[in-house]
Amino acid sequence: MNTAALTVMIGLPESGKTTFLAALWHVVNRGEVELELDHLEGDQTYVNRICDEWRTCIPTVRTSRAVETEVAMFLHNKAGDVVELRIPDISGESYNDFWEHRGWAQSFDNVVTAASGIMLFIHAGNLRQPEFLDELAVLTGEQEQDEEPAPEELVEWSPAEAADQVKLVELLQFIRARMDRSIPVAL
Amino acid sequence: LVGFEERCFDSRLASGRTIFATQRTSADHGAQLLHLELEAVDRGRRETLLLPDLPAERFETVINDVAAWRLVPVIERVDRLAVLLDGDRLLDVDTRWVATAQSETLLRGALETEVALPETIDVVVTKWDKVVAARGEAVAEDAIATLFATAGRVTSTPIPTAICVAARSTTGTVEPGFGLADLLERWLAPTSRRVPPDVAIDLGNRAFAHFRAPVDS
Repeated sequence: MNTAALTVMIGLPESGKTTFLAALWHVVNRGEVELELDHLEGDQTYVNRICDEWRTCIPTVRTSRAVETEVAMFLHNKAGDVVELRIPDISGESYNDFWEHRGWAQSFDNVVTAASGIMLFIHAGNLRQPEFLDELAVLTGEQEQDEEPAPEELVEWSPAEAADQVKLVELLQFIRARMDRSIPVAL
Repeated sequence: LVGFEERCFDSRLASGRTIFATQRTSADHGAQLLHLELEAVDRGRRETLLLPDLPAERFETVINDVAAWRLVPVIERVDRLAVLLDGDRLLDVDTRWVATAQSETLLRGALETEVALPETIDVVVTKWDKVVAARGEAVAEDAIATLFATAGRVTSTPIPTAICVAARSTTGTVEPGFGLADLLERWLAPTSRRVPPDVAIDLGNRAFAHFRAPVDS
């Protein structure tokens, strides 16, 4: 049996990481994919619960910081190649913290720096877009407005207000800065 | 990227604004460097761009005292220096001459104090969308000619041609970001860069750590 290749799942809040994990656990258990389960490291109760919710079409409860856990699924194909799918099922808010505070836990760093591949989750229907007002003006053909909205309608800057695209680019930059090699990233 | 996002946030739809704005750089903060690492994909070349964000007050001091050029943070390390001409202020006869004279003073001072070589100075006309919308190209060309004449009185080495930019475009006359690609191309071109001092700083494991110089054990 060959050495396991470590793949890590990451993504912003509500990007579908936990739902993917639930669906994957379902298809692996039912033998619906060529990969077979070798063994599971971590809390099987947790993956069973989210998988049950997924099967009954109950929206998966978002991972909160309080229940952050890590699951490692060791899968192998018929040739004996092993894939270690490590899912640091940390809350999406934690990924926001990475962006806002420019740092992450040593445990997450250990996983990321050891990864041989990354699955980056993006919710295509729920993206905070980086639109500029002038780009909108060009698209709509409208000129600059004369009056600002009332001050209470204005949004004050905070890092959390940044567009998802920017946060994800920064996240990938952080990962690259911690790497001494190139690795594939799947979107 | 947080630094860039903070600076452009008031121009984003998410700000709730309808009029584009840019936060003024606070004089209370020290010099801040904005860092971009860019890659010319077709040439396979990566370049690091560090942009000092300095408050306008710093340059008001320089306008009044040419020796203050030497006190501008990081000025000893700059590879290129951009002297800006405010296109919007050029359009109004009340502000045109002051705007031109201030840029002229900055340019002359930079050349006299030799904080930048003539060939590394860029004259940049900003808010070009407003200039085009007001049919003010001739006025801008006059101002540019004035700056080049000033430079010619200080040095015989020509400075590069001026670049007109519109980082935002509110008039629809030019696209948002007009001229910025040309400016970046010029900034990232190989130049006779100054040799950085040999400094070993341990930056820990933060994102900037990969810039650190090797430390002898």
